[in-house]
Amino acid sequence: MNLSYKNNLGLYIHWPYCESKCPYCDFNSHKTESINEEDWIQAYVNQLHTMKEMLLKYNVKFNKLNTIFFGGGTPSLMPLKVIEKILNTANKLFDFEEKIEITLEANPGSYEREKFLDINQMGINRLSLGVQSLNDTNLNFLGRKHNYKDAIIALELAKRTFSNVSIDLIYGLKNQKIKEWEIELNSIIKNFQPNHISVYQLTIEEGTKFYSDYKKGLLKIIDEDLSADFYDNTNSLLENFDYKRYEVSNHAKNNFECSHNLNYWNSNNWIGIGPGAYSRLWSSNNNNKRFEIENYKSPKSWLSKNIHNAEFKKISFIDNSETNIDILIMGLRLSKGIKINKLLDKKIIKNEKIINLINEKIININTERIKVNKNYMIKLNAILQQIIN
Amino acid sequence: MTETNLIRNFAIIAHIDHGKSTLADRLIQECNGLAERDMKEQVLDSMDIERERGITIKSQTVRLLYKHTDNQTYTLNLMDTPGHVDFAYEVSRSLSACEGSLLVVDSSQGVEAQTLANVYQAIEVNHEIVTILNKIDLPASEPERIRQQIEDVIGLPGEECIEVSAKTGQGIKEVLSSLVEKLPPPKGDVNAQLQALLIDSWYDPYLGVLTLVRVKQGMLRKGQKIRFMSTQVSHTIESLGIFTPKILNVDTLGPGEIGFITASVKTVADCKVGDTITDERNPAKDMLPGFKPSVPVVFCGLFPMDNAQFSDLKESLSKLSLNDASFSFEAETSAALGFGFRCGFLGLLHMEIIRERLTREFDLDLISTAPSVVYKVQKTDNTNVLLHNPADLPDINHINFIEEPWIKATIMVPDEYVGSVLTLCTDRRGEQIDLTYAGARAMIVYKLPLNEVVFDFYDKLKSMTSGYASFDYQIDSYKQGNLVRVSILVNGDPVDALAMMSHRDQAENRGRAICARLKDLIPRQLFKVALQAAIGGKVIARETITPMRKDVTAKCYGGDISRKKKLLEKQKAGKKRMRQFGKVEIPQNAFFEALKMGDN
Ligand SMILES: Nc1nc2c(ncn2[C@@H]2O[C@H](COP(=O)(O)OP(=O)(O)OP(=O)(O)O)[C@@H](O)[C@H]2O)c(=O)[nH]1
Ligand SMILES: C[S@@+](CC[C@H](N)C(=O)[O-])C[C@H]1O[C@@H](n2cnc3c(N)ncnc32)[C@H](O)[C@@H]1O
Ligand code: SF4
Ligand SMILES: [Mg+2]
Repeated sequence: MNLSYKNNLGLYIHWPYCESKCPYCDFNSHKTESINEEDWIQAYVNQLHTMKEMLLKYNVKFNKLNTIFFGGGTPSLMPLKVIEKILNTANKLFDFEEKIEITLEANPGSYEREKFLDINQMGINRLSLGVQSLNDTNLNFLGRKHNYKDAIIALELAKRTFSNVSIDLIYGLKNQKIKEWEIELNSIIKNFQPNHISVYQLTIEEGTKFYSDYKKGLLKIIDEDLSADFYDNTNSLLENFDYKRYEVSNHAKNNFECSHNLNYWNSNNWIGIGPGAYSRLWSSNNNNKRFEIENYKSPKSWLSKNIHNAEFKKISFIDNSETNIDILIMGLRLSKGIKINKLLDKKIIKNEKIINLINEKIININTERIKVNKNYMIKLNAILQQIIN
Repeated sequence: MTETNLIRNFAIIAHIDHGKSTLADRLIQECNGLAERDMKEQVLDSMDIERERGITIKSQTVRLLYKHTDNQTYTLNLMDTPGHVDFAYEVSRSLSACEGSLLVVDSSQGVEAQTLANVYQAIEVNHEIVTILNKIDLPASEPERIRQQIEDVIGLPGEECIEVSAKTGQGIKEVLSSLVEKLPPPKGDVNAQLQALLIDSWYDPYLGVLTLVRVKQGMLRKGQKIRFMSTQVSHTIESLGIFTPKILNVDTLGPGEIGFITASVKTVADCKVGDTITDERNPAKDMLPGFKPSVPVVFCGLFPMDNAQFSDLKESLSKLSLNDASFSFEAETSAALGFGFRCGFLGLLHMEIIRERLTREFDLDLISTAPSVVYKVQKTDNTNVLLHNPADLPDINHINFIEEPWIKATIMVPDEYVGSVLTLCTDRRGEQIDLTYAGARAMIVYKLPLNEVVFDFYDKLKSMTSGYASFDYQIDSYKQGNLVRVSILVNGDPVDALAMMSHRDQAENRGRAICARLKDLIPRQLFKVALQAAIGGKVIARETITPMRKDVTAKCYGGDISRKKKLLEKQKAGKKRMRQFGKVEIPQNAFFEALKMGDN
């Protein structure tokens, strides 16, 4: 069996604090509170050490560390010393690949902007900026702390500081017009030429303020047809500017795909440290079974559990049949699809429904890869339903 | 054994909701049948479905001991009956077990369709009738007007009606004493050869098969060897008992008494309702008149959602039929739905209740097809077939003609609604038989094809008359009709479970309506779905379900895998409620809902 794809390794660091909680956000993020820097450093460092031991114990095959991603929350609010300490420790424990990609998520607020230069010097070489929108009404609706002007200043500064800048945008707000959105998108691209753009349709996630508003009928969402138009138009606009949609919501200029995230979609190895972060790793011990390590979710309990010795909430081996489905669910999000030989059991793509989907030119299978055809990515869930049920 | 002149047997009859079961509560209480702590509202409605819906489905029998003003203690056997038209059969059986009826009329509503239907049945079996005006406590109660109505419409003496509130207990004593005084005691010689009428039988998880009997003459004893005269099977009585309403074992049941027996009877099928039970060693010569068998009039297909549950469904149907001999079932196969059963019911409510009990008591997930009536088809070779399922209609070239069942419907309604009710009946191909007024109420009698009534006629009638109309019907006769089968095609393939019979003149409208409803019922899919209605090869209506446009999760990274899978799993659970038909997934409820006529 070809194990090469299992050799990539990514590191995700979760920072759980934000200036305030956005009403649509269901990430493990909390309004910032005063923290003890040293405690947090200690806990992250403890986790890194223990993770290294786990990799050995479970015989996880990898060469070097390929990517690092500081996500959140708002990691641009992390004390510089914490970032620095994590990077140093990681460097000591794992060999960094030469072209290692190190991303940090940043919000466009003024406090965060000030740190761009410093973090760049620490080794962060990719900035993912949560612009969300360039329209103050929409930013306000989304409960963002920054405005249009902040976003512009942050973008300019980011472009000057980092050679690889990505932005996050959200569309499909009720009352948003496609035309306005296209103009907005157009102007961001023309003015700032980000290397990478993630565009998400606003999703009403359970447990958020938007969700309860929606349930109460206070918040409306756009209908399926309009949402499809938004998606299609966004994709063609970005394509015209030479951004390739390489994943459902991710678009990149040539060679600027996010390696760290590709690691997820390709079901490789990653380590996740920090509150609520997950690791998923392939153990060569156990017949190449995949296992998951779960962290305590609330920042307080995570900190207290990890301040002396790293303690994870749960380590569990995943059934191969589940892993097989995971590989497919994640892999088909990519425009290129996935290599068929990644599947643990190829039966999953050999049934009547698949043949149907192939005949209808919805999916494409050649000797090497299985993928969803371009125009059908928009219906991925329905397609996955057909395949995995 | 009680002396017959100290026994009174009576059935409580009324229109639905006029208060029969509540009245039974008061009578039980007045005679101390139940301890206070065991008392609850409509205590005799013991099935979950009865309690939830607040209606009686099965008749119940209670023996009460009542001390009359003459200081004698009388045995009163009370039978609470259902009011809904579907269960008229239950009423008729109870009536044959009694000498008298307690007619309940809601004094705020007056005489309704089932009041008439039931009281006519009682008169037909020569019952003495005690009439009460119930709900006298209600401000809307109009005893004087209703007395008049009872005289005018039914022909019973209005001045003799007792004013009662089953809620407050007013008039209850008077009811009891009038039952003793007005109703005749049963007759029957205890020394004659045993004749006991088999009124009902059902399966009790603790006691096995219980058989409810009314002894006409002779005596039933524990250990006695008895014979069921029509089936000719013999059994030994294991126990005898009565309901007080709690079970009380007794040693004997004599003439005039109503109680149950248990014997080594394994199947309820051995206990044919209406049969006569006699003594094996000293048998009676003649059988008692018995009952007309109940005939299912409405049929539908029931299929397990999961094909693997077929044998569970079969077992559940058999078990349920132990408690309800009035529905029928036979195996059927559908190209669309797989293996299932074609089941026959006494009416729509009956069908609904059986379906609900199957899902609830037996934990089955079912697909039900739309109800259909039984057609008589004469083929060109002059043979006749009974058509229970439109899908089985023979080739049109082999058919001489088709007959459909008609009913005689009686509708009682305040006169301001007469116009719209007549329009409704005409729309449903009705023929007017009679229209009479009594005060501000009209009695409309129509003949209607059952097919037109079966699905939503009653709902329509109720809503267009703000709930004031009442409706009763009897099967009348079969009549030839210009009938066709409307087939429904999904992406060009006919779906047998969606086929329906229709009058030729309405076929196009119906076809269009079904396609339109299906379009709403079937969610958008990956592929385009074409819906067509056709008669034979001719398409009469079509609709298209455009493919879904978007169904994708925007964000999915390393930490989202489990959540994302849960989402897909949730959708998968939803899909389980769908039936795959070719490439198309049709939701479970569509097979039933599509044929609801709605406003066409
Ligand atoms: N106010 C008032 N309400 C009553 C009286 N008798 C019955 N009801 C109410 O009328 C409704 C119907 O009563 P039931 O006793 O279930 O009627 P039923 O005739 O047994 O109904 P079916 O068995 O379904 O035919 C219930 O809500 C009772 O509480 C009464 O004397 N006064
Ligand atoms: C980890 S999050 C947040 C990063 C950073 N804290 C921020 O808000 O900019 C990454 C991105 O997911 C997107 N996102 C979060 N919640 C969303 C939702 N409910 N619907 C659509 N996009 C969402 C936002 O674009 C956000 O930038
Ligand atoms: S800033 Fe980002 S992570 Fe924080 S609450 Fe808002 S969307 Fe969530
Ligand atoms: Mg009742």
